[in-house]
Amino acid sequence: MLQILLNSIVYASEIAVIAVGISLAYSVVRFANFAHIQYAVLGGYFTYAARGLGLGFPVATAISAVLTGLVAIIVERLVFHPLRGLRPEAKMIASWGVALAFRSGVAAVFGGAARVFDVETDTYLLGDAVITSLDLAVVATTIAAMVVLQLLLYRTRIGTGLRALADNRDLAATRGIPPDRLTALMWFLAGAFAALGGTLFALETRLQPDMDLQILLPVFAAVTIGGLSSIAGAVAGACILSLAQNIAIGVDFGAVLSSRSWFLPSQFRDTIAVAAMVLVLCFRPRQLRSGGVR
Amino acid sequence: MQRFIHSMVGAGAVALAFLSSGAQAQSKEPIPIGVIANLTGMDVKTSTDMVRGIQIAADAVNKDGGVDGQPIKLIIEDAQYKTQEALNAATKLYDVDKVPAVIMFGGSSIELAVAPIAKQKGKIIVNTSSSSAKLGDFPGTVYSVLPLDDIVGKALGEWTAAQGVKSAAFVVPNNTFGTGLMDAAATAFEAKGGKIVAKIAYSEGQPDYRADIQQLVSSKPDAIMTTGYGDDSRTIFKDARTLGLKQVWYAGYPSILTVENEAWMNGHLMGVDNGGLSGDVAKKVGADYAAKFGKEEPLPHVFYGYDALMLIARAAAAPGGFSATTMAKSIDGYQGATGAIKWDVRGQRIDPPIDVISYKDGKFVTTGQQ
Amino acid sequence: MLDFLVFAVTMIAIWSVVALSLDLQFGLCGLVNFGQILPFALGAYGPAISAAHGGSISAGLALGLAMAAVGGVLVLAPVGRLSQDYWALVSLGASEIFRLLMVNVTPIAGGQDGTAVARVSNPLAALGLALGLLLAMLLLARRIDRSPLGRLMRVLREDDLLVATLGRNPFRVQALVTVVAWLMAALAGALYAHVVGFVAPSSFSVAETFIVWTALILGGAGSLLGAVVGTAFVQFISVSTRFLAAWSGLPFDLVANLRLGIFGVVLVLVFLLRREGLVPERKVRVDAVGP
Repeated sequence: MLQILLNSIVYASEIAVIAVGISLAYSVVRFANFAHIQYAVLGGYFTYAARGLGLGFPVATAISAVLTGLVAIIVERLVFHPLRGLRPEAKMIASWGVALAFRSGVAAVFGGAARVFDVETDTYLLGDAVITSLDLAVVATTIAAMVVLQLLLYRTRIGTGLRALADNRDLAATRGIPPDRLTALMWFLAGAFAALGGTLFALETRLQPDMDLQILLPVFAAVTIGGLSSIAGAVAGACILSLAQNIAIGVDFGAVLSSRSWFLPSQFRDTIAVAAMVLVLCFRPRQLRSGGVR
Repeated sequence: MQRFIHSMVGAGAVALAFLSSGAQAQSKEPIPIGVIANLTGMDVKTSTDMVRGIQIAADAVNKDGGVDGQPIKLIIEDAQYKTQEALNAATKLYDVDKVPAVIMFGGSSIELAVAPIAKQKGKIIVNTSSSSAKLGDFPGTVYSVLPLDDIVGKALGEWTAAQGVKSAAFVVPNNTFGTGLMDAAATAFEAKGGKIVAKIAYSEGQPDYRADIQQLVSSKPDAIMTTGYGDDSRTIFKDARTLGLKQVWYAGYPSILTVENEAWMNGHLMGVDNGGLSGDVAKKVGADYAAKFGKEEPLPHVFYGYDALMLIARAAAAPGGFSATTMAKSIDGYQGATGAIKWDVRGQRIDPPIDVISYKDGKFVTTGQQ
Repeated sequence: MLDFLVFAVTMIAIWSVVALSLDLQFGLCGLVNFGQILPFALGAYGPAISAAHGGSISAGLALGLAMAAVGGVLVLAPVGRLSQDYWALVSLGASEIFRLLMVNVTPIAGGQDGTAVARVSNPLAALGLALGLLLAMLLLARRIDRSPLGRLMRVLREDDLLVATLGRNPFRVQALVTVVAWLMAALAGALYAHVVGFVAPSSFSVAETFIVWTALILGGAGSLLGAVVGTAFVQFISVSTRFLAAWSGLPFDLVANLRLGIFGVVLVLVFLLRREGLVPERKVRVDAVGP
């Protein structure tokens, strides 16, 4: 049981860092950005490339975060800004186009085969549960990233501006907050967090151009469970989702009912993520019609 | 006027001479050969390596003057691991490029969809990767250079039991290849008195397999029997290592697995494989691969791809040219990168040489034949 | 050359029906279905499930259509409670749940490896069936488009409250459109299964949904002809780039990736440069007539 809990925390950490970026963007520009998943993949590859130049992990990840943040700003200027007058659905569709182009671009540059980060891990035993030094590093990084984001949003002028922008764009503009610059900053943050999350995900698994599909479902499920525009909600969503998934595939249901061991095959992990999202959406008491929490 | 006609004729003659000399310099008309592989989507690395093997073989044939002076021209198409795209690629190759044969990499959803069309058109498919027994339903159309799973599976089960292993758990990919090998190995292993304590068939392309491996840990087997491809097998090994597994891995086709950590795996991975990979031809192909594509370690698919093209070239060079008949005879006396090849009446590879392979000090070594 | 063209046109006709189905849902009714591949997959899995269990072709067709009609209503059920971007995620999730089930539950229809179904072996017969289906579906869609229902759908697209004030139940309009549109896509899926001769989950991924979306946006959402033109264009890109690939002389894996990237670039460019699509929706002007 402890193992299930540990697995849940590690997986939730990988998902949460990517998920908060989607929420952040949604709260300001009001559409679910599919290209965000590609920012995560791109970030993973940037880190890999920077590692290839002989840089250490912290430096490589920082460079990757900055680069991906800039990419997110460029995409905003070239695509989303000109489309700002359209309905959210239209922007969602356009964001898928961006994602598709990025995906092929990554595969064209780095090749279709998987790549793996070289990390030496130590294994620790907690009773009969196992955790690795890499797991601990991933969880610690995630917590640190969340604290930084929280401080940024609630303890700085920029954060106040961003939250004002998310609450009411017009009002924020009349108060003299430059919305375009703040939006650009928001995209930078979203891109940087995606890069960090993508790097953590790739560290625990591997890098490959089609890893976007492995990230897409759980991340969007987490964000949706949390209510799309709430950053704390995205983190909570990631935790709930991860716990649900790991319990479903980690508990020996056979032993509960009979003497024979039976597990739900782990390939149903994504099915559980999606089903959880659909169920939460269908049975959520709060009305979600007006496009998220305000 | 007459001068004009003269000059026209003269110019025409010059042009004609130029054209014909150009044609001569290009030697004879090339023979087009099609390749269909998953260059995007799933199984990209294995597909790519198969294509590279084919390219190495084509280069070798063309360097030796081609097939009776005709060079081989490869036309490589992407199937995206999708049936419709495989059919698009196949109709293009057969109808537009007029290839007599296509070398295919892909699961059965790719190859079994193309096979009826090839049969209808009287063309050939050389299969390098799918081990579905249904491919045998197209005799005269489909030829496999990859042996059927049950042969290697049976050898694996018997050999593992012979090593004194009493109980084993299976970890295989959840597809015809994985479960087919598992069933054959399990039957053979149990027939020799072994006990199967867990059968885990994992879905390909998952981010991690911790939950699967944890189930395996709790079943406490003496040893683990496995097979699988590159990236997924690497993730399996990584999760097994971090979860503290110490058992020995007995594998079908150990050479297609990707070892994740040399030190941990040293002496802990062995199994039975299609033989010949330790032979001279394979060594030469491996050297060509290193020369052409750098230091990346070649997957065995390179060798299957190489043999597929070599057999087609042999069939084309036979008296009467390329046909189903010459294709069927192309294996006579052929010693390939994957050893000697023998086909049954259904075009499926039988009696492959079986090697016993161990992983030691960072590489696979052949320790014996079975 | 001929067979190749015949197969390409057959595929254009089949996918045009899928785009047409999406056009009814999104172009006319405003439903953002990000799981458009699901009705197509259900239609294709009818024959596949039937074949895997020894059933007949007609049983497979009936099964596919029934699954699509039921599936459509199920997926639509929460639409009233959600804004369109949430519902889009629900529909996307539903299509992935189905695909993952087909991948992982092998007894249904062969799992990842799929199932062979009876194939229309004459390419011309397949082409005839596909064109016949497309024509019938175009006529049906045109009829809906020009009917009072079509006008009501357009009103619903712009403002569902307005529909309610007109005394109509928005959900019932949406449900009717969904069932009709999903049956259309399911018919296309069933035909696809029998033309291709093999049904496997990899043919029904999220990527396929967005190729249909690219076709629809490119052709012009809300325009029936646009759905066909857009599909033809997208399939043309897909097929013609195979020839460019050989001509370009670039490494084979690079070309394969660039081919797929084109779809994304086209989708974005249409949004930026020609938002109304190649064949813009015709403007309907209805003057109030009489009291």
